[in-house]
Order: sequence, then C-alpha cells, then structure tokens
Amino acid sequence: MAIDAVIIGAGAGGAAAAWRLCNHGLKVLILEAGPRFDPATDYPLTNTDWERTGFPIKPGSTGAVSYGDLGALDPADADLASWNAVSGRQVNSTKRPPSATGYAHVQGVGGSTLQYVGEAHRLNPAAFRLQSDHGAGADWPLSFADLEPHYRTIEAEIGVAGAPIAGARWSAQDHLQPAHPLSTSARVLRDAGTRMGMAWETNTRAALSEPKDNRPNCNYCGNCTRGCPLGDKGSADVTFIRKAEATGRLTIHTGAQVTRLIMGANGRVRAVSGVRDGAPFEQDTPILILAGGAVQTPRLLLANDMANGSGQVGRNFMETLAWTSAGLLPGLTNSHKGLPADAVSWTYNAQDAVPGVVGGCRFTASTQETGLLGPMAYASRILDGYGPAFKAQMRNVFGSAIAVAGTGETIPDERSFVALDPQRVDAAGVPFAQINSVLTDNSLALLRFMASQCRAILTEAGVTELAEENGVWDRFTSTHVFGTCRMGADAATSVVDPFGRSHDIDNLYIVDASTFPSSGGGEAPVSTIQALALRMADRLVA
Amino acid sequence: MLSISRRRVLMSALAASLSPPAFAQQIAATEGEIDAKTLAAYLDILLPADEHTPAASALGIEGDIIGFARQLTQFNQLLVLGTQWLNQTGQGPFHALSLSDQGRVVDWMRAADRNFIPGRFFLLVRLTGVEFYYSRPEAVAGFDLNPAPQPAGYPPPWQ
Repeated sequence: MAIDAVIIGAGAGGAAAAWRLCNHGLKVLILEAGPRFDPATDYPLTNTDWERTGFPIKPGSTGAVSYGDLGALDPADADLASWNAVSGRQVNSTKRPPSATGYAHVQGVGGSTLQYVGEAHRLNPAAFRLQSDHGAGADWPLSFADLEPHYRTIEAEIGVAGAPIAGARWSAQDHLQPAHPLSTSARVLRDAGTRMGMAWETNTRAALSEPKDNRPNCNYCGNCTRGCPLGDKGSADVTFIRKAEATGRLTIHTGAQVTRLIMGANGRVRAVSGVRDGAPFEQDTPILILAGGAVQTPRLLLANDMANGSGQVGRNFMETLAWTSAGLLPGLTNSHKGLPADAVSWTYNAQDAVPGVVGGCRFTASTQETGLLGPMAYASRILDGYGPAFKAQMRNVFGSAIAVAGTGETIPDERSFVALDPQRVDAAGVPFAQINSVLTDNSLALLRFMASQCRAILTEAGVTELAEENGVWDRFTSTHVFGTCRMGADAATSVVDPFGRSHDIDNLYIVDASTFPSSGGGEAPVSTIQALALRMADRLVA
Repeated sequence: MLSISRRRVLMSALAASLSPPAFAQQIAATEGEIDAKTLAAYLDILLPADEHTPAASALGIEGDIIGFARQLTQFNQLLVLGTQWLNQTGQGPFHALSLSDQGRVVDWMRAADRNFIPGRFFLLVRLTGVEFYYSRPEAVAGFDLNPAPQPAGYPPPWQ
C-alpha cells in the first residue's frame, strides 16, 4: 500500500495529526498496538452493576510498563498520606508503590482520551518560559502565540463548551459552545473558593452542550472516565479519527505493534516492522510520526537506539501532582448529577503563584471525577459502619458528597526518567518501559499546598469532617506524563525541534506529550498535544 | 484524572493486606471450605433487611462473594479461615447464634486490629459485601438514583 505517512499511535496526537494530514491530501496509515472500542457495547453504563466496572480493559489495551524507583516515604510527610473513612490509610510502606492504575492510560483507537474526563485546557501563556523566568526545567522553543490558532481550530472541531474568564489565555471564545451548568457541589465549591479570594469559573470541557456532527449533547451521567457511550465527549475516536476516516485517506491497522524502526539511506527512516495480530509485518514509509505518549515513544526509540544524539530520550520525565479531599456536606443534594470537573480555579496556576515553590497548580470541582457517583463508592470509601443504622445513613447522605482536587506541576529531575526494563520483555521481545519518578522537595511543597488548599475549601464550604483524601505522595498515579523526548532548538539538549521533528532523523516526528519541555501548572495536556500535532502537520506539508 | 476499576482496587487491597509474611503463612496453611451459611449470616448482620430493602442473604450476596473469591486464592482462604474463626466464637456455628450474639461478635471484629484475621476479615468482607449488595437494584430503593447512569443521564436542573 502506497502511503505518505505512517503514524504510530491513534491517541490524541496521532489522531489530530492524521486528520490534518488527510485534509492536506496525504494518505496516512496509523499503526495502533491496541484495539478499537465500540462505545455502544464496550461502555456498560446501562447495566445496573455499572459501578463495579471502570473503563474496560481489552486485549492489547494497556502498554508494557513496569516501575523502578518511585521514591521513599518519609514518615515526616505522613500528612500527605492517602486514606478514607472505611479502610483507613491506604499505603503502609517505606517505598512509594504504583497505585492500582499507576500510569493510567489506554492503548487503542482514541488512546487515553477514551477514558479522560475531557478537560480542554490551554497552557498558561507564561508557562512557556520556565527556565528563563524561574531558573528551573527548560523553556519551550515556541510561544503561546504559535499555538493559539491551533487551539482554536481544535476547540471548534471537537466542540468545546465553556465560558472562561477572558484574558491572555482566552482572548476570543466565540467559537466555544455554551458552558455547561454547574453541578450542585461545584456551585458550593465555587462560592467557598470565591469567599477565600480564589477566582473560579466554568471549566472548558470537550463535551457537547449542543449537538454537533451527528453527536448528541451531554446528558450529565457523570461517568466520562468509564467511557462515553453517547459520543458527546470529544475523545479522539469520535472526532479526529472519524473525520479523518471520512476523507477516505486514512487507514488504521489495530493490533499492530511496531518493534523496529528501519533506517534507509541519507539518515532517514525507511520502514517500520513489528507484529500485527501475531504475524510479522513491515511497512515502508516516507514519513514516520510517533504518537505513543511519553512512556511508549521513548521506549520505542531506546529499544532501537535511535534519535538520541542528545542523550535526552527517556529523561526529564514529569508526572503530575494530584490531590483530592472529600467529605459529606449536610444539606447538599444530587451531587452525583452533572458533568465531572465542571468548575476550575486557575488562581495558583502561574509558576510563581505558590510562595516558595516553582510550579503551578489548579483546583477543580471533582465530586463526580473522583467517582462519588453511586452508593457503592459511598459505602466502600466515605461512609463507615454496618447494620440498620448504616443502611439508613446511606439513604440519608447519598447525594451529599463533595470533593475538590488539586493538579500540579513537577519539575524535571535526574532521578525521574523512562528506561528499558533490564529484566522484563513483552511477547514481541521488546523490553518493558520502566518508569522511575521521584518527588522532589519542591514537588512535596507544592503537593502540601494543594492539600492544604483543598482542605480549606471544604472547610469553608461547611464540611466539618473529611472522609477521604487521595494523593500521589504514597502512590504513583499519573494520567498526564511528559518530557521524555524534549522539544528544543538545541540538538545537544533536546530530542526534537520546535515542530516536533527529530534533530537526528529528518523524516521522524513526534506528536505527543513526550515533547513537552515543561507541563504547565496542572493544565490537562490534550489540547496542547493536538495543537502541536496540527502545527507539525502544517509544517510538514508546507 | 481517572476512575479506578473496583476489581483492581479490591485486588490491590487484598494483595497489600495479605503481604505480611506471618499473616500470609497463616492464610496459605488454611484448608477447608467457606461456610456459606455462616458467611450469609455474617453478611446479614452487616446488611440486614429494612422497610425499603432486603437483607444481603436474600440477594445471594454470599454466593457472589464466594464466586469472586474463586478467582483469588488468598481471599478464598481468608474467607475459609474467617468463617472457621466465626464458628468458634460461641456454642455452635455462627449462623446458629442469636442475632444479639452475632452482633456482639461483629462489633468486636470491627474494632479489632486489621493485621489479624478477625479485623481483616471484617474489612474485606464488608468491602466486597457492600460492593455486591449496592450493585443490585433491589438494594438502592429509596435512593434518588437511576437504575443505571444511561440512557437517561441526569438532565438539569439540579437542586
């Protein structure tokens, strides 16, 4: 099959790049290691036992990931321990283990957007100069202005809803759909945060408030992370993949794991090879685009010992700091109804907003996002007891849970990196990607601020007793990871150039969060990944 | 941010709870069968019938837990050990004790050290019990809750 470009990975970046390249007239082949998901049958939100299941796991839908050094747990930091009212402290260990989800991701058509909440964030325009302004990490080799038109295109194509506060980040928003209504708990959190001097606003959400492109508007079931059966959530499968396939120029091979990148003449990649549904394959390509994310992309490059003249492939790994506090608020009702992460505060998003810390964070209404959506969650996490009194209490308090979350930035550190696992290989003989990620004193200080602020917001809201707290101090849990193929202007210190092209291999590009020099102050990265992908695609055909 | 698979959470909790060597050895050395009658009676103390909803045993929750435990050897052995222990707490098996005596035993277990069999059994059987119980439509009568999130969702307004 004659194609113009091969993309490895059908997640956020791969899908957006495919759509743009197909619209430019190129024939594109996506090689996706995972499966397709059928929203109608794979997301069982019509079953009465819906609360027992999370996002489905299908054969091939998770990558080969292991964990190395995740850091030690100093008892002096035990104020950051995860706990709940039913089970108590969640981790009793001297070392930080991965959580049940660890690096939370989906391998498949749509990638991790299939299970994301669907926040559509733009990076803080000031976040691009971390090194210059704050002497830490690295600068981006581009500015917010370079991405702004691509953000706008993405938001319009997906159908982002919201009414963000106007400013440098949102100078225009006439392309956005109307904001979603705030849930009952989000209104309480907004009011409490406002009394504390924080600015809260409706979050920008990749979930339709009005029908678009034969997709219905959201009906507020609250279960975005279990997979959206309606298709109103702007996951990559129902947006960019669907639109790219409609051009007739996109082919997707699922179950296709690329294991080798084959060099040709003139220092260019000639082909890729691997295993598809158990059989070997080889595919020539004039252009190769990697979009496997900040764990699988460096794994592939390290396994092939390619594009690493800088020695930076796999280094500069950045996890995301996360903290959630929850409680029960007497008088609050129906908090299980509405859109997850519907309200957000960017007050502490700038990288110098938190005293004594480099790096920003944001706060989000998270009652639905943290899964307090049904009686099972209440009974197993936040309401202890048994017997007749317990059952009566369950009925009385259901709908009064309230939770607020902080999401924050980490700064690259030499102890945090992705390497090839020296012991474990997958069925194709490729070493697992081993995640090493250690929280620095700076990260712990920011995490402690986030915890303190979450507790204060709930107290201000009227919660007198916390029922659950979860954080990353005692368990590595990260959906958003960054930095392992850093973007930069200098080939000696970065892996790809400002357009995502390898400094070492002319026809090799990367369009995932591995290229982020810094992560921003807690922004969800999908929109930025996709903006970078569009920018790369436009450059490629220019 | 993501939701966490309930099954993975439970398996993680089980793995963590069974990790101390002495505890694991005690579990591994266990032989016998789960006493289903005792488990059912125990669950009915945790989740009894009331004016709105049935007891756990009326929904066969003990069978759900036993079936779940078949996939997890150590959990199965904890249930064996736990029901054996329950049957030694009074004159005759636990399920033959009076409700008040059963209640006193469970009260004690709730306060027990969770690093030992009674306390650990209480925690894990309660966790799995409420999971299976509240996944049944009969158990959520009286809640302002759809039988499932879809297809209706929860259209606004919400007060």
